[in-house]
Amino acid sequence: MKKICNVVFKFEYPLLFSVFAVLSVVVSCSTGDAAVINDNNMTVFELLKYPQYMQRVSAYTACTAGISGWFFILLPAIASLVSITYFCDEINKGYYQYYVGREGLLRYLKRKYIKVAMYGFLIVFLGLLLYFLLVYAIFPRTATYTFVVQSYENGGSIWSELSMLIKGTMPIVFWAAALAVMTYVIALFVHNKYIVISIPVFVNYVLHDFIWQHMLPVTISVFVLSFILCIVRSRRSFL
Amino acid sequence: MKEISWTKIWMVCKKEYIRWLWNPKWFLNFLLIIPIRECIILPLMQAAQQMGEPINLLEPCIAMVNSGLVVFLLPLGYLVLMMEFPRIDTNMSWYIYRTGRKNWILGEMLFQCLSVISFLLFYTVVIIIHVWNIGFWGNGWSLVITKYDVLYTMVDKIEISGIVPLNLFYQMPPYKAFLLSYLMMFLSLLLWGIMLNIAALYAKRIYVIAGIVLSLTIGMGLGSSAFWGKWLFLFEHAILWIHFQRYFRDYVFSPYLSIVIFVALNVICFVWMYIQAGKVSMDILWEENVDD
Repeated sequence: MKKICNVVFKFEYPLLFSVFAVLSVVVSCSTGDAAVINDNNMTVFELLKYPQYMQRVSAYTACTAGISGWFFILLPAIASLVSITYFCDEINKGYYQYYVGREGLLRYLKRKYIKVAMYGFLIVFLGLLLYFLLVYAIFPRTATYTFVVQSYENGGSIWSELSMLIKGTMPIVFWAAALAVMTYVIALFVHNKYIVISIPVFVNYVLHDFIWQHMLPVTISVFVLSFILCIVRSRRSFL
Repeated sequence: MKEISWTKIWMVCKKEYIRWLWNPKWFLNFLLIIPIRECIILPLMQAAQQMGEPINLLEPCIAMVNSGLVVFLLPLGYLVLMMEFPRIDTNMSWYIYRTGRKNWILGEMLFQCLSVISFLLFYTVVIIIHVWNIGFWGNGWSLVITKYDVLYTMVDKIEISGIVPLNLFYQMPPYKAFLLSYLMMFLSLLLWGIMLNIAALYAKRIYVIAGIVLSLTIGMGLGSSAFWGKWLFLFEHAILWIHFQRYFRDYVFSPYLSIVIFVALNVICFVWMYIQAGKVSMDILWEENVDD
């Protein structure tokens, strides 16, 4: 167990890039349409410029609005940008051979699989958590002049709302990890980082509606299929 | 110094252009289609469907080069593509020796022009393919652009004036808007490309890229504000609708003056690049090589 933890959490990607990825989650979430004011759709970001309108949108509404904006379209790039860029560089420059020489190709690929998935998961989870906390710090808990029915099933405390939001976004966070893994598997066959990062973004965009409707089975399928492809790829060297 | 030869210039241009076309970074630029589709094509198609009216095929193209977000993303995409050009590799010293420095830099200049035209043409063709079924050719604005905002007042309506601003269709017909908008965009992208060339001659490409991105970001931030200082940023000069007042046929800043500014800057940068190319040391160029 200790060995697995070491393998997964050993610091590999620069902190600065990771912080950048987390912040990009926050920024992309803030582009979601939160309200219609004076016949104009206003994003969370735009509402920050007009404090007088901010009162009309509750923090809960602003949080859920963030998920539906550019965040979902950019999700594959955000979840995999840092880890896959590093992986492609490792393959192209031949550094992976030092690892493969010590532990074998299959073990190396499996370790990378877990790392990429965990990294994608953590980046998106931390980004969403930060976004929710920021929104709750800025927006009012109850909106004035709104027709949106607020749901306070869990007693109405901030923490119950936050836990409800986190529970609600968990499928998306797991989907982000699955997308990171999908990107990783593409990188096993094509080592160009630009191609590798672009393909999942297109897939996620084109199959947007299908993914929303069947998120859980699609996520599990991607994880399983990617793992199988990873094992298949380990039978042949990168050279 | 070798004589200027059109064959050599064309060969340099062709070599760079083929490399540019096969650049895998194009995959990142394909992603630019997503914001163009989401912000411009889909809302226009939806509005056309609601009204049951066709749109002018040039309208989404005009919207593309007049939309703040896309005008910000287009130069970024172009910079990503051009980041490695002029491509400095192990072979370069040999072909500079064979072609001569002047022919080489003129070939690079011709390549810049071709690449900008191809870049803009690519997105224009993509847009026209999208709206081909619901579009028409003509020098008149469609009813979707001129009447939608007046006729449709429901809460979740599409904001057409946010896609093709009033400032534009009150002032001129679509052909003129198309030509002026694309000319400004062409000149601005050409300027960024020439600046990258000059930066490569001083081995300072990364600083120039950072400077251009910073200038674009500030320019976009000041975009629709009334602050006069925004005209100090070239980003504003590349967007046609910002030049006009909303209802009156009057300029906020003359678009023709913006074109003159762009042309002047392009000429100055070109002369600078041409002179510098004649005396640049190969060692300095080599600092930017992409072989490592």
